[in-house]
Amino acid sequence: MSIEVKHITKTFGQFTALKDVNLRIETGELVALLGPSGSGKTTLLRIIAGLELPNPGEGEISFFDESVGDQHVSRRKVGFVFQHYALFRTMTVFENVAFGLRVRPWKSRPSRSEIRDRVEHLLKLVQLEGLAQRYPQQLSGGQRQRVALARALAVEPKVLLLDEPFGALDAKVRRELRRWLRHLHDDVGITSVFVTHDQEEALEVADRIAILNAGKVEQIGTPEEVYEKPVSPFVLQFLGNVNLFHGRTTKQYVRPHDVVLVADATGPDSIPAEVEHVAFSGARVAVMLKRKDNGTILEAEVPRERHLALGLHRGQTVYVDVKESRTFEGDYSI
Amino acid sequence: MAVLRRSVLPGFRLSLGYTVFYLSLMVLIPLGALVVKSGTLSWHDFYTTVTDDFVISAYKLSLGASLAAAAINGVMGLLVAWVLVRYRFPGRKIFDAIVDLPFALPTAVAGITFADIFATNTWLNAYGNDWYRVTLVLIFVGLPFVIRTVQPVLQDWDTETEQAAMSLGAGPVTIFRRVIFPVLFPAWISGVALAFARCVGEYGSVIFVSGNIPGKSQIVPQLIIEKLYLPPDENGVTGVAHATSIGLVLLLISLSILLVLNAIDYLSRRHDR
Amino acid sequence: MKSPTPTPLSDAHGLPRHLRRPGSVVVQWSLTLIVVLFLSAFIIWPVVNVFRGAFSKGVDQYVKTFYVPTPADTSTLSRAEKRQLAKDQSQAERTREAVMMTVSVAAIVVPLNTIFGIAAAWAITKFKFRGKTLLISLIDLPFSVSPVVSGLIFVLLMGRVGIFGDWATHLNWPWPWSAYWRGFDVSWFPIGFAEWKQGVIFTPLATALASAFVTFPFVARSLIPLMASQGVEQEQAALTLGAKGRQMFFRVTLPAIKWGLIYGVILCTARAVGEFGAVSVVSGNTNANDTMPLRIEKIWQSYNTQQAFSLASLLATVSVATLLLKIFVDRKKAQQSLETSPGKTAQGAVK
Repeated sequence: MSIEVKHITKTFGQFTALKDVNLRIETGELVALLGPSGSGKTTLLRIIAGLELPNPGEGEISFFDESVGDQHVSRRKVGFVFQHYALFRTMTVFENVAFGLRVRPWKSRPSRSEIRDRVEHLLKLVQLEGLAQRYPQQLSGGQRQRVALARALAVEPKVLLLDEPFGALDAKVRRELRRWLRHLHDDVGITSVFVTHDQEEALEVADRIAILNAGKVEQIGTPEEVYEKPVSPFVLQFLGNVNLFHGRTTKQYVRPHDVVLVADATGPDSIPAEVEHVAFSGARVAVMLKRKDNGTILEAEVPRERHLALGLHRGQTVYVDVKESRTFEGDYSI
Repeated sequence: MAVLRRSVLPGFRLSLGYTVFYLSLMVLIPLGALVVKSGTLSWHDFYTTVTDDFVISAYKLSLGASLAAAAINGVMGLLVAWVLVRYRFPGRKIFDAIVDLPFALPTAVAGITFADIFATNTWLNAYGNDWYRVTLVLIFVGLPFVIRTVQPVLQDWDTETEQAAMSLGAGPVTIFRRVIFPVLFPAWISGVALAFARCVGEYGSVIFVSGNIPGKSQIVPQLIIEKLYLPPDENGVTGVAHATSIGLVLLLISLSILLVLNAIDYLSRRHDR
Repeated sequence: MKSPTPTPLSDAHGLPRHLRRPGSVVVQWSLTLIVVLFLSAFIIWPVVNVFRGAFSKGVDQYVKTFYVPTPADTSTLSRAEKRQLAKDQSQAERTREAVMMTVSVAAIVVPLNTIFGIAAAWAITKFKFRGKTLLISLIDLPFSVSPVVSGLIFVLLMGRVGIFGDWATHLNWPWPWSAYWRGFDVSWFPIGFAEWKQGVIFTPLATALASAFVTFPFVARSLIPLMASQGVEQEQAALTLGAKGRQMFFRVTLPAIKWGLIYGVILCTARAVGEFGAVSVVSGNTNANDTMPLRIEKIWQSYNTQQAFSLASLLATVSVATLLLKIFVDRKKAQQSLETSPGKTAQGAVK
């Protein structure tokens, strides 16, 4: 595999950012590190890059089965894209991308014309051909992001690491760029890891997702695996809205799209509820309900047809059936 | 100074090492000399030196004139900062720029030009005593401090709060007193204190306008220099010892002003949290 | 946030015009007038007076402060005239020497303090360590010490009765082999052969030390806020791209702090050139140690007002030029810190 992290622990003073973290990333994969803020995902990425040093001890980091834990960041050959891009403001786009080539030792430094060709090729790849002589300040957020990517790719890194690559962009540019990143990854084929707190982004772009919580990897798997077979309530809740039903001994978790609304009770398990609010979002309709028995709030997501058939409106009483629910061992209801 | 966290950026040991080395060479050893040397003075000699009539009168002149200058700068500086930030008038940018001149103009140059102005414009000398002249020069010396500390706060000030006060029926004087001034106060008072500290130590410009008559028109720095070259007095206390004692008091005054400033800064920040 | 609607004839930071009270225009203009008069009286007048005094006897006399030519035919001069000419010439030479002395002191002090300023700012803004606050306070210290006390400190250290007095007063300024420190007064390059100085206090070396003490916060002070606002990400980016420490510093850090550095150096130079109190104490009133401000004092005390102003006009020009440069550099510096996005400070880099 191309990146292996073993037994990494990192503390900042009193705060433990990572607790004995293990992670394996296969060659050519695009992996997302997903978690809420403070979960240690950025710290893990920075430790892989060598920008942060883990607590000394038995921890180990290797790229392509070769230990890099003792290597300084400048020797690890990682491409790192910073959250705020960290473009060199005193250099043009061209100089930014060429930087990594120009600082190479004299012997391995490409010639002037080779550097020019390489930079031009990369700028074409990130669709910024005409902007080589601009300064970063003169670019839009999305353009800066792509310059940062081209700059990281210019040194032909072994692995590409991206810290919240779309975090600072507005929603529309974000969606475009993440599709574009997926395509770029398929073209270039470089092992890549990116950090995000946006589950939608992780589900859409990544081959596999590692979900971090409080300094630990809770689960790692394909988007389908983590969404369909979450190993813990945390993973389930983090990957989307969820309703909580307190059963006799366990907690039952139900996704809004697994809640079925019917006009009349279908059996003893149907729960009467009052419609509080109906929100359209195109083909699906989100419904807020208040359970009549204990007053808790439920969320349901129903197809448009169902909504029309039921004629959902505020104050209406409907019955709630659960299509599918999840329970976790050791997660007892009080 | 222990390192708390290892960092990947290079040059920490080199830069901190050089900083501490240069700082020790330039500041710690010289200041240590002052402490060590003043340690050799007996308490009695120190006390009699700094309570000498001439010394007391020099402190009165230095502190009094500095206080007067700082107070006038406190009022005028606030006004200048207000006008420069809030009003637009022809030449505003030039006036804004020249506020820094007292920082940049060598003190000796300021001294001779003020001395010349007093000599050639006799009407200015209506109160022709040294207090008056020294205070005027010190106003020049301390002029930028209040303006430059208050100005950024006024610039960041959001007029919406003022409009809110206006909508609640407050008049302009009330708004300034109750809404604006409390916000400016920490910056303003530290500007006044900085101006005062600078004026107390000022030497170059003042010596050209004060008469340097012991007990009458001598400022503390003048007295220090005069004592420095005096032969030992009847008790065998050297001139250098005299100068050190007086200088030590001056240093303590500056350091306590610094301490008060830090306290103000701390308190005003706590207010924000 | 301020409302984006334009408020014609109102200022950027004031209230919209329609919210002003009737009569406030009168208040506004009166306050403006007071401020203009105050600044004119306390700043413009004194500075203009320097130049007025310098040229009060014409350009010829101005030039004669610095250089008195020998007439082509000296045989027609009377004895008294010859004596006067020789005296004027030696006075002018001393003035020139004072200018040279000032320039050379600045040439020693400014580079030293610049290197210190960069090192201190690098350590303080890019790393976390214990005792940082103490270090910053120590750097600020010379600002709050009276210049005379600063001079006094060096007398206590290096003077005849000073702590290192015994050593310092007998110190010859050795340089490899036969070259010796000979001060700044003979030629403007301070290191030379044959002649040498003895001791520290009352020599040009003491002048340089005292000037360095008084001016050493300036470069560090102008760099620290700028570098703190820029954070560490650009340097880290350079490292991930394989740059070595030196490449990172010269290609990334230095260009980014260029204008702040220039500004600090200018301020440091202006203060080193104009320092009076501290230098006055350690120079020991010796003509050979005179810097420009000390020379101004001596000329003034010999009641030669016009010549004192002529020499002062050089220093005043330097300070006015400093101000102009400051305005220019401020604009450039604003551009450099403009593009700094939040969350990039040394603290913010760690999540």
